[in-house]
Amino acid sequence: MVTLVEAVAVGFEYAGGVRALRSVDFRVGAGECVAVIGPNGSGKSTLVHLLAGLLAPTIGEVRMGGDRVESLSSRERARRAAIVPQGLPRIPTLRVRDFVLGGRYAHLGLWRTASRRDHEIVDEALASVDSQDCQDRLLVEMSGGQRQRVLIARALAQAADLVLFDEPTSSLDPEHQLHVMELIRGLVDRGRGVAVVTHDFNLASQFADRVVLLADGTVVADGPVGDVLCEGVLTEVYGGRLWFGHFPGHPERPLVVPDRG
Amino acid sequence: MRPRELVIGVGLCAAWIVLSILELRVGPGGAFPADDLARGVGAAFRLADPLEGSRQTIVEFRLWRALAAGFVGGALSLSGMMLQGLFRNSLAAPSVIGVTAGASLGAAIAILMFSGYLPTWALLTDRSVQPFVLSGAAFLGALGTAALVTGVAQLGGRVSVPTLLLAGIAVTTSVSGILGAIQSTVFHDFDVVRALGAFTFGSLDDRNGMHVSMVVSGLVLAMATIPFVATELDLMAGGESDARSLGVDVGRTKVLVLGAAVMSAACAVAAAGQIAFLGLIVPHLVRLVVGGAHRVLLPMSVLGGAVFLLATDYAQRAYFGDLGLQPGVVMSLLGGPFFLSLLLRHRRTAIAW
Repeated sequence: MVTLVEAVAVGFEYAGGVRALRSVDFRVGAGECVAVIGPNGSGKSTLVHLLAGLLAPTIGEVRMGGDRVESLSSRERARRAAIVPQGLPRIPTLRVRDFVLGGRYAHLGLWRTASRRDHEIVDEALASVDSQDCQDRLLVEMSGGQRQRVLIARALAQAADLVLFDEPTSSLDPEHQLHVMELIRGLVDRGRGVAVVTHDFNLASQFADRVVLLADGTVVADGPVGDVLCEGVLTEVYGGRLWFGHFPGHPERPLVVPDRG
Repeated sequence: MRPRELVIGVGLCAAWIVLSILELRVGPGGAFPADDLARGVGAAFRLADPLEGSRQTIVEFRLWRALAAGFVGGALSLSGMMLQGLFRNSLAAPSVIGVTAGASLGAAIAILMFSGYLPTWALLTDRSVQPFVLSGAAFLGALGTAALVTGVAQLGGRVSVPTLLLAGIAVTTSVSGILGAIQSTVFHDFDVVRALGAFTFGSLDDRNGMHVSMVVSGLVLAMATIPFVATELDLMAGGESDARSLGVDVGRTKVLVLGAAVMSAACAVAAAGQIAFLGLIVPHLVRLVVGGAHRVLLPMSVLGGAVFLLATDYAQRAYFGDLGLQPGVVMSLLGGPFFLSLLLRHRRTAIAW
């Protein structure tokens, strides 16, 4: 499997000495969906920003396809890794299509004009998330589920092999959660590498190939779904108030829910 | 570019030309026959024989005034549009954040050097380099205040807009104090006082070809950055981190935009002094009427600024000619209330800062 991004012994401190990550090893390969879980403040978002090259590690290094992330130009970086952030920017006049076209920025030429090909790619991206109909609507009018789809369309337009998702399902109802995860799984099955930061064990269990558990800025566990989402690993980090089972008919998919006892 | 934008753009270009011609027809000395105006303008560019005596001088003064008004308006407005895009706030403008004040301080220091009040270099006694030294000094002054103001307002990589505006007020007030003090110390030297005074309240009187070339060169340099910052500014409107994730070199964009905005405003000040609020009002109107992406907004703000300053100056000269109101005064009269109404409209969001 081709390694798309790799963090080697990475540590990160925010200005003021707040340590967010220490000696983290992490990799995402092509055609792989990695779920990143961990309690609030465990360093998940920091890790995603390091992987995308938006933060530079304090120690260690992040490599994209063999190149140190710092050695890449910002446009080259964006051609290799896309981030799907948690929310949409609140720009009152921005239309959906123009927002998605923003994903083509790293591919534009010197004069920054979008070619016919760029527009075709935007069409394809909108079509693959079923959002052609709302392309002329204002971004701020989008509902939660549409918003997530538009964000994914922009990442698709960016045409990067690596796509990093920051809590893509946190504000969605169950049906839309499944829609979004199915879209993500579709990217993976077409050969992209994906890392998804999430609090949802059970979506991770159903859609991820591998789960990485972060706690206090270090990797506590990294392995197949069944090896990480199990009582012995999770109770160490989250405490004992969890109930463990598995999805009916799928013994390989753990089911973990908060349990008041 | 959409048809609507094209129509507005062509309309503004036409208005610029028409107003420039109208501007030639008004002012002390009365109206001139069209033939004489054409010959006088031609003679100013060494293309025709000059009109006799003072008539040629009058036409040339009006010509430089019309050209200066257009380009100064365009330069200040472009600067304002760039700053508003950069700081993602519609209250930013060269005069609000102290850039024009800094430029006029730089220009004042240059004038003191030319007239021997400050230690000078042999170079500066050569009159032909003086306009460039003046623009350069205005640029340095503007850059200095821009660096000071943004430095003060910056905390952990983020610019705080309220602090930016307050720092702008502090700098503008300090500079007008310094300019006042300088004027008092040289008050016996009428020419110098008059030259300095032109920088406090912008003036379009007694302009010449040098003034026009100063502002045109600044404006052209600033406009040359438009293709390389317009899309970037659009993407940065969604936040710097988001823009970076799309591949925008945010640091380079900030340097280019700030440099261009400062350059454009500084050259406008070097040519015509401080004209307050134009860089605030026009970008607003352009956004309101045209809307859309910076690729359109930025060039449109140049046209809008040119037409706006020319129109106000023409109206002032045609209808209040006897009062001799300077454009800086007119703009302050219009701009103060406009700024207050903006604050009123944004009161809700202003509290959220």
